[in-house]
Amino acid sequence: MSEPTVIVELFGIVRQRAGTAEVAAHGGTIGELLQSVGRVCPKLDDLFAADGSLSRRYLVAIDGERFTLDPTESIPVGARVLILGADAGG
Amino acid sequence: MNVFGYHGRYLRIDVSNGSAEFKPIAPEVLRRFIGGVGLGTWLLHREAPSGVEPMSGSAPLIFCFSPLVGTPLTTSAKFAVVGKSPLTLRLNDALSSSHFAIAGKRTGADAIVLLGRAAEPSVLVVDDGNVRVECAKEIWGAPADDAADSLRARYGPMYQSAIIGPAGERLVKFATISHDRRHAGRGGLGAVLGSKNIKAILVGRTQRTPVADPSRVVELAKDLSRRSFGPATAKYRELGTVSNLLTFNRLNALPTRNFQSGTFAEAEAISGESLNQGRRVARNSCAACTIGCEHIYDGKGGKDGVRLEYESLFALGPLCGIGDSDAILEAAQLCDRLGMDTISAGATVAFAMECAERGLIDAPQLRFGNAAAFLETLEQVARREGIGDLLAEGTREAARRIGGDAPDFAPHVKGLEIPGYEPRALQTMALGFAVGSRGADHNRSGAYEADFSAKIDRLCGSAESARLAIETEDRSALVDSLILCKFLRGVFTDLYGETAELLSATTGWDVTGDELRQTSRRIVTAKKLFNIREGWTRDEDTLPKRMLSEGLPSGIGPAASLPAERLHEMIQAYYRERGWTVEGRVPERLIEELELADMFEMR
Repeated sequence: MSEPTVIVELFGIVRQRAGTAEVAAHGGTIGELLQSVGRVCPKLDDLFAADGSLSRRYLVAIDGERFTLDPTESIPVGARVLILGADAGG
Repeated sequence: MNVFGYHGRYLRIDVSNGSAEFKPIAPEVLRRFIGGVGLGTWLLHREAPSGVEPMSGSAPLIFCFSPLVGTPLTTSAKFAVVGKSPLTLRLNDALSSSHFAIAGKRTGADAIVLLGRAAEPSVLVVDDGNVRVECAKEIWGAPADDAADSLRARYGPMYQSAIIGPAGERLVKFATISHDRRHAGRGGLGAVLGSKNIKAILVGRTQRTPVADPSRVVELAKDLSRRSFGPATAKYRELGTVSNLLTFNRLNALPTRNFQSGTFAEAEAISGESLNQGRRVARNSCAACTIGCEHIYDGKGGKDGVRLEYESLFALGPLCGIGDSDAILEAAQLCDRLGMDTISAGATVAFAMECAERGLIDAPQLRFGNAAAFLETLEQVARREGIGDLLAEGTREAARRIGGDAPDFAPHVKGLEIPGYEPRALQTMALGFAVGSRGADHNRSGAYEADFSAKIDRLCGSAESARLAIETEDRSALVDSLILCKFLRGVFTDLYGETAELLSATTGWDVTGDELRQTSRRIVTAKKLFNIREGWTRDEDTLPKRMLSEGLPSGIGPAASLPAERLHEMIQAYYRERGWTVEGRVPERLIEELELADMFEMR
């Protein structure tokens, strides 16, 4: 079964690096999705830390509500995922 | 006095007669309060009589430097301006940057304290501890940048100036003091300088302070500079803070139309991304800074372009319903030249727009989105003409005079207008606003860092919010006293330990990270003690009624609400974590523990 398509919205320095405001990527979990984003946008090649966890330089939010650092977190069907820099405020 | 990094004294000037004297600062005071905001707070306790009127001759205005000023450490060219705010009637500490800090410290003082009132519009010249008060009638009324140019022509490049615009001269309660268009913006200290009939303070000369371990300072400076070019500061270098706008909009956290909404329909058109593509003309930096966060945009008729930050963009844009980038840039330039805090100016006009739309004031031209009326009103505020005379008092006082339910939606805390973080959508920041010593403030509290993390639910604050808010307050107190730029914050992995190294190399003190944690708590508490002395009451720690009784409607992002009971619980948790009483007061045992007992012996 193919992984679901998720619209990923990019903000701030992430958008600048990717050169686009949003991408269509694939994945049922946050981790799978970010790996897909890294393939679609090669300039976003540091979304993961060396130990495989999500890089603390970024924030990920499902539907703009909660931020999460859990790569195993499932993405609800139809949800959009946001990626922004961890320096989003200030 | 032989204290590395310091002169060990402050210069106390009475501008009424030009008299001046150096007064010693004991080394143990310098170690307890460091410099900048910390030392400024100690000096305010010392020099301000209880209950002093902020714009009286007895009210001190303090320009405070730090041990790191004049070193090669990146972002260290900063100074604090501290006084009792005419807007809030509470302690106000504002920061500005660049050459004035370096030149100011070279006058031979760790701080310059102004008292009195000059007989006529004047400039104050401080030159190696020698002081002159000189007539400045010819530049009274001039915009800040024009006046600065005139002073440069008159006194030469050796002097650096901190200056007020027409707003400060007319005692607008949110007037700024600026140096090279970098404003000590919040809280109206420009009005305090204006009340002393001083247009500008010029500083110059050559008295440097040696550091304890010059080679170690250079080594640390090189390392810090190298790290300052890394990913932690990329946003500031490449985009500027204006990039916050679209992010906040998406999260429904962008204050819009006087905090009636968290989403602005025209956000894309005025976004940082849009401005950077079409209108950015330059990037600039303060003296001694490797980050270069200042992004300059092409405004209409501006001779050097317009510097724009997120706070100005939100306050002069979505907060007033303005979706026209030309108008926003023009408004930012106006505030620069006239010397007004863009946050308070924008929020005050936004408040007036809502009052007009509700029929509470007779101003048919003032409507959200009416750019022409918006710009005209800003000018009126600076000159205290027409409705501007009322709005120049700030939203708290304006609401009180307007009456009806105006106070319910006046966007301030303790009289200081709320910055560009919608409290209902960023609830740890809401707590930071409510308890902050200078009012609603995103600099002395960086509580938004918790909201922009996975540590907490930004839409449902809790007792955990208190601990996180305190962490950011304490870090800010340290950074604002050292003084270093907060844009460096992501560069440090251990802020307290690493800055202890910087301070040790500079001063020769054997400083530890644990000591600096205690110092941070001391400085935050010292500010609180000043406010208590000046009449602070528990009901000041709150948010406008609108935030606590009206839900934030959903926009692009989710709806949100912040019930009063939840805010109360967070505030109580904050007091507990701080070791304060249930009423938010500081118990004696904590005053002793933090070595603050001498605060009560001063006045």
